[in-house]
Formats: sequence, C-alpha cells, structure tokens
Amino acid sequence: MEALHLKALREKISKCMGCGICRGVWERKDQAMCPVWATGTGFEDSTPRGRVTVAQDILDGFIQYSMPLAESVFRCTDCACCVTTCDSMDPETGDPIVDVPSIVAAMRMDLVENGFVPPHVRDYFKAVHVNGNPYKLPQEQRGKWAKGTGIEPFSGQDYLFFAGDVGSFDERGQVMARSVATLLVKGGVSLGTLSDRELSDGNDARVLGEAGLFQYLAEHNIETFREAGVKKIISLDPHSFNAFKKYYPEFGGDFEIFHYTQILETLIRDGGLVLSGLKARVTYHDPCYLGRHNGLYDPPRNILKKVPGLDLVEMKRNKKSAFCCGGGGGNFFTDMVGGGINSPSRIRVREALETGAEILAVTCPLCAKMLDDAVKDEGVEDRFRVMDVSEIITEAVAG
Amino acid sequence: MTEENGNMNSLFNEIVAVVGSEHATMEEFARRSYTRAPFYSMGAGGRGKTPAMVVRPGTTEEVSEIVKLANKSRTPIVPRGGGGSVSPLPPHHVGGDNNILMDTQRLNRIIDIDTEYMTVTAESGVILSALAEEVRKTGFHVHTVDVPIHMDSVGGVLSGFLGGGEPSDMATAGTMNDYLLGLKVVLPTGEILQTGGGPATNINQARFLHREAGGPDMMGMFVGDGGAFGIKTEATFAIHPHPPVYLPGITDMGSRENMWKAFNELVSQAPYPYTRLLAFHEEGGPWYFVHVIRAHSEAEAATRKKVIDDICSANGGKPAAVGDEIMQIAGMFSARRLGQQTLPAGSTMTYFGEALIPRLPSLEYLDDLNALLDETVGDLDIYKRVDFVVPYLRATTITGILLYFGKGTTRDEASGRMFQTALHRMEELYTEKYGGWTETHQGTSMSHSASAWSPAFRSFMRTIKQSLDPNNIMMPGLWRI
Repeated sequence: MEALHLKALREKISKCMGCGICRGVWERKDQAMCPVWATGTGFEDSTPRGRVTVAQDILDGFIQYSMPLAESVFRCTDCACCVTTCDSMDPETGDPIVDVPSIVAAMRMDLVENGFVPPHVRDYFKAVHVNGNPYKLPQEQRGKWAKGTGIEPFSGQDYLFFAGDVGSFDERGQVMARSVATLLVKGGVSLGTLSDRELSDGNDARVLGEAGLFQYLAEHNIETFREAGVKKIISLDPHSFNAFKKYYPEFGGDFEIFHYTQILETLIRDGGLVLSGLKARVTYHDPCYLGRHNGLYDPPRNILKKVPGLDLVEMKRNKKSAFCCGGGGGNFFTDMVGGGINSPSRIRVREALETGAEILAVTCPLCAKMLDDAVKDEGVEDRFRVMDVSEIITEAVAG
Repeated sequence: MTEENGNMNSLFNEIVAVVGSEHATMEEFARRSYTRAPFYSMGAGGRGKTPAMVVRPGTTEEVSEIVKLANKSRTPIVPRGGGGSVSPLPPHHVGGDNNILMDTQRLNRIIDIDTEYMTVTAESGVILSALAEEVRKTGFHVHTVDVPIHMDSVGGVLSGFLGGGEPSDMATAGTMNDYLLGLKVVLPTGEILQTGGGPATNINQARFLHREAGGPDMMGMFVGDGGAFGIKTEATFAIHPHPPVYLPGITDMGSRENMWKAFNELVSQAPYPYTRLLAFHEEGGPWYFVHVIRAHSEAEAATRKKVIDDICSANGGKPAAVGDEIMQIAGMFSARRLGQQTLPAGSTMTYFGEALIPRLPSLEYLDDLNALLDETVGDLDIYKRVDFVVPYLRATTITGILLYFGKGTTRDEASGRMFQTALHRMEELYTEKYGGWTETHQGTSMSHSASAWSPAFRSFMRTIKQSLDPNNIMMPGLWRI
C-alpha cells in the first residue's frame, strides 16, 4: 500500500520528540488545546502526538492504511492548535519543525488515493464533485443569498465578493453573507458577485485529502475570476480566504485576497460607516483559518472596539490559543469529531459564557453555524446569541 | 480464530459493556500509538510492548470492574498516566503482548480544593499543570513535578521515580509524596481502597489531615510502585499559600572548583536561600548558577538573594551577562518541553546519565560520566554537551549531561546507541559505584534497581505482591521477583 505523500514528510515526523504538549491540557482553559482530544472520546491516536506516531508506524510498515484508521485520521479539524502548543520552529524559516497538520493532510491524501474514505467524507467529495457544492443544490441557487443586498453582478468593480458554499447555501451562512454585503454596499465599497459562475473554493476538499478535486475547483475558479477581470477578492469565509491566499497561487491564482473584516475595519476607521453604538458585552471567537492559519487576529477586534458602548472581553483561550469550534478540516460537513456534551463547539460556548458576555462574535459562517447549534444544545439561547461581526455593526449603525 | 484471540475478544466485549464502545479499542494503530516513549526513537528500539487492547475508564468503579474482569481471565493490566515518561522504556514493556493498557486520562476531575483545611483532591488522570493552575486560582500552591508538568498525570508521577517526580522547588520543599495525604487505589483484585484518612479509612475522620494519624501510613507502598500494587484513581495533597514573588538570577562562577565550593555552601544554608538552584556548564565555557527565589514578599526575596550573591561572590562568582546562548541552555531545564524549543532544526537532544546520587566531595561522578559518554556515543555528531548539577533532597544531587546531537545524528541512531551501548553501563555507574538511582526508572523500568535489592527486601516485596495480587495481573514482571 502506498504512502507517497507521507514519505515526503519522513524527516518532519522523525523530529517529533513525543512530549505530548501538542494535546493541550483539559483543565488549562487559557492554553491552546486539540479539540479532538478535548472531546475525551479518542485514544492516543487521536492526539497530535499519536497521529505522528501512527505516521511513523505507517512509514515503518508496522501498520497499513485501513478504514478504521481513516475514521481516526479524518477526525482532525486542521485547527493547528498543535502547532501553537508545540511552537518548535525552525529558527531559519520560522516554519514548524514537526507540523502535525501537514502530516495529517498527507495521511488523508494517501488514504484517499488508497480508497479508504469514510462514508461521510465520500459523500462530501461526491456532492462537491457532482454539484460544485456540498449541499447538492443546483448552481443556479448559489447567488440567491444576494437578493435585496444591493450587490450587483461582477462587471469590473474593485472587488469580487466571494460568499463561498456556506454563505451561499446554508441558511445561517446566507444571513451572514447578506449582512456583510449590505454593509459593504452601504459603505460604498465597489464590489460584485459571480453568483452561479463560482464553484466551491475547495479548501475543505484539499484538507480532506482530495487533491485532485481541489485542483479542479481551484483551476475552474481561477479561470472564472480571470475571465471576469477579477483583481481583488473579499471573502466572507475564512476557509475561502485560506484557500485563495495560500493554495490558489500554486495554480496561478495570483489575486489580492481580503477577508471582509479587513475591508470593514478600514471602512469604519475612515468614516465610511458611522456607528451610533451598541450596549453589550461581547466576546470574540477567532476562526482557525483566519487566526492561527493566517495570523489575522486584530481586524475583527479593532472593529468591535470602535463600537460605542460595546464591552469587548476576551475568552481565556484567544488569538493563537483560541479553541476550535470543531468545524474545520471538513468536519463541518462530515461531522467526524462528535463529542456530545464535550463537542468542541459546546466547550467553546461554555468558555464564552464564562466571560459574562451576552454575544459571541464570529467572523466565519461555519463557526456561526456550529456555535449557534451549540448555544441551543447548551440551552442558553434566551440569554446568549452568536452574531457575526457585520451583524453587530449593522445594529451599531442603526443605534 | 485461536483460543487466545477468542478469549481476548470475549474479555474485550465484557470490558466494552463496562466503559462503552467508544472507550475501548483493539485496533492495532490505536494500540501501537501507546507504545512510544517520549524523547527516544520512534523506531523499534524505542517502543514498548503493544497491548492487546486499550481501555479508558471514566470512574474508579469502572476501573474496579475492569480489574475484576482481568482477574477472571488472568490478563495483565498496565496502567498509563499522561504518557510523558522520560524513561527510555515505555511504561508497558512489562506485561507481555496480551496486556490491557489502562489509559487513565479520563479520570481528569479535580474533585475538591479545600482552602480551609488546605487540601486538594484530584483524580489520577489530572495533568499536573492543570492541578497547579486550578489550585493557584485559589491563592494556594500545590507541589507538582516541574519537568514535565504539562504532560504528566497525578497517578503517573506518584507511581514513578522519586515517588512523585521533581517539583521545581524539590531541593527546598520536597517531592509530591511529601504533600500526599490520601490515595484511592483499585487493588489488583478490584477492591477499592482509601488510604491516609478520611471516612473511607477512618470512619470518624471526615478529612485528610495526617496520613498516619488513623493507623499505619500505608500510602507509601503505592508511591513509586509503578502501578504494581494497584491503580491509583484519586489523590489528596496538602496545599500552601502561593508565594507571589518570583526572582530569578544567573551568576558566572568561572571554574568548576569555584562553582562546587559555592554549591556546597549554598546547600548548607538554613533556611535555603534559593527555591531552585541549577549549575551548568557547556564544554569550554564557564560554570553558571541559575537560581530562582520564590518568596512571600519583596523584602524576603531580597534578603535571600543577598545570601546567594554573597556566597557566589566569595567564591569568585560575578553577575552574568545574560545572552541568548545562556538562556537557551537554561531553557533546556524549563518546565515546558524539556528543551525542545531550544533545538535548532535538524538536531535532536537527550539526557545522558541524569542520576540522583549522594553529594560527593568532588564531581568525580561527572568525570566518570563524561568518560563513559566519550567511550560509548562520543563518535556521534554531538555539537553541544552541557554538564549540570542540581541539589536534591538532603545530601544528594541530580547530576548529568545533556546532549545535543547535530544533523548528522538522527534520533533513531542516538537512542539506538544509547540502548545498545550506554544504558547498562550508566546504570552500573549509578547504582553500583555511586549508590544512586537513575532517572530512567520512572517507576516502570525498575528491574535494574530491583536487582540491587537485599534478599530480605526482595522477600518482603514478593510477599506483599503475592498477597495483593494473587493472580499476578498488575504490571507482572516489573521487578522480576
């Protein structure tokens, strides 16, 4: 059985000292922690350290890829907490020495190529392959979210606004997409949308190990963007942002990429939106693909700090140490992590509640959905709500 | 299916009925993921036995049920804590291939912090940094191991070497064992035992106050037992007001003679002026002292610092110009990652011959260790070696060498050579020539230490083991008695 992708990482794998600090510690609520380990339902192989040990065992021929192993490997949420906690970096390049997320990605690519794909993952791939989105909905519906926002079809505006799969098809995501687009239009930002001409950004297909599908999606979108004359892209979804910024360049996708919070921050700073105020205690959840993966911690906070009357409080795990909502690494669609009462999203909501906040601010449609559901599961929807930063700003503009 | 496999499958199904299917596994990749010892090769040389199954009980009662089932089928059990042993041998090199590895990390509840009676009770899977942090929030301090605090569990360290690892203030405040007040243990027969006081030991004693007050102190037999006498599921420790002042310092002592004279003076002070003291030296460079003072007031810290400074100064010491290089070496001894953060890319690092030995008139032990190093692994690509001496309890020191291997030496190669050529010789040096103890024991690879037991002690241990564990299922073979 081939382990071609893993073989390329043999040196990284051998560098792991096996200390296990990458797991994090349950009770240390101020430190980064592997969300899968936090569920308390996995064995050592579910920890970042264990995943490296498994990788070494595959390379040494002690174990073979299998479906049960795939079930374990596909539980990683690609949140990169393990990189934060390990922080063993190459002093010359600044890159992580072990880099568990890349090891997991390689194992997933090997698993996919060897035909070991758990049913939920297979269904995701199939839906994206057949429909261009994981919701199995027709392409024509992709642009429906934009109705009433004032956003126009893209025809050479300054920015393309890319809503992504969740922003386009998921009910909660659509609310967020409409909120962001409405605000940006109101603020005078020149932007348009490609609606049904865009496909899935492919970020989660890539993380789940379907390199071929990701390449297809990336090349399709890049061609579409080029044909339309796109130079700059505002992404709603940090997953899209991550794919565009870090992986599209491999296929020639050389666009200027922004997350919407970067644009909104500038808009508010320059007076493009006037904020009347919002009296509320708010805590902010860093999405993994915006924060740890791309280092954008400040724009959302800077926006919230501009709102008169808003009291921004931090959770103990924040920024680099923020706890994953569990929706990364494809888990939003595949739901491989589980965890019940200790699912990552419910843990995160409890952490947010500890701050005394009444609003949990998010900047990712996947986080919004995951945490919304967790608020209901925790039974606190009467006193606690999840709001996208743009939704908060909309209320703050109205005053 | 062989009869043995059939029996194991049957036992597995019974255990699943106790803990649920999500907390027990016979998958090979999962079982093998537990075979690794940190800091050593991930290849065959650095692996322990592969357990037949892994089970993760969530309560003392579940532990008890599993132990009873294991007794019925005479299946060995190997308990596991945080998986952070720095032993070159993973915890389950004992017990054969058909053992049940009991991962205790779901026993992760801090049950009670009682600031009035100054105790904390926690389950055995609680990671020590978490315990320390939670206790600190109440303004108190619990003595936990310093290295490696972020991965070791309460049960793991209490079962290991030194009966509870090395608190950063061990030289001045003792080990975790000194603060242990009570233990809940599942005996090898599955019975649940509470030691040390409290209503489960003494029906008239509501709290853990003095572990010997209600009868003989039977707790010590479970401390450092490697899990052979039972599986710890809860522990109660004494806690103390947290000293808020933290005052570190570094002194350049120049020669080894200067350092050793000052060292002996410092460790003879009463009370100790330092909370923690470390002497180290990189080949070709001066000896440095790193000290840490933890105090309850700035004035107390200043007074203690003056004592240290005066003794160092009288022996030729001067304040060090603290550069990155010194801090990098000092970082090797930090609590977090055993030096991992200081490793340049492509290199690996290990301890060579760290041992607890009686304090000697001179540092001849270190010379012997260096000679052994040159003889056994000296030809490897070693780009840095750091000698160190740390005061330990009473008249003992922990003395050893840290090795940084260069890019020309893989961890597999380094640990392979350590196994093949160096470890046995080092153990001879520790226990036979100097009468000390090696840190490689960690409670679970104690066969060498047991080989030095007197006939009377061996017989005593055998009697206890047979009495507690008639079917010899708990860590069988640990001491080879």
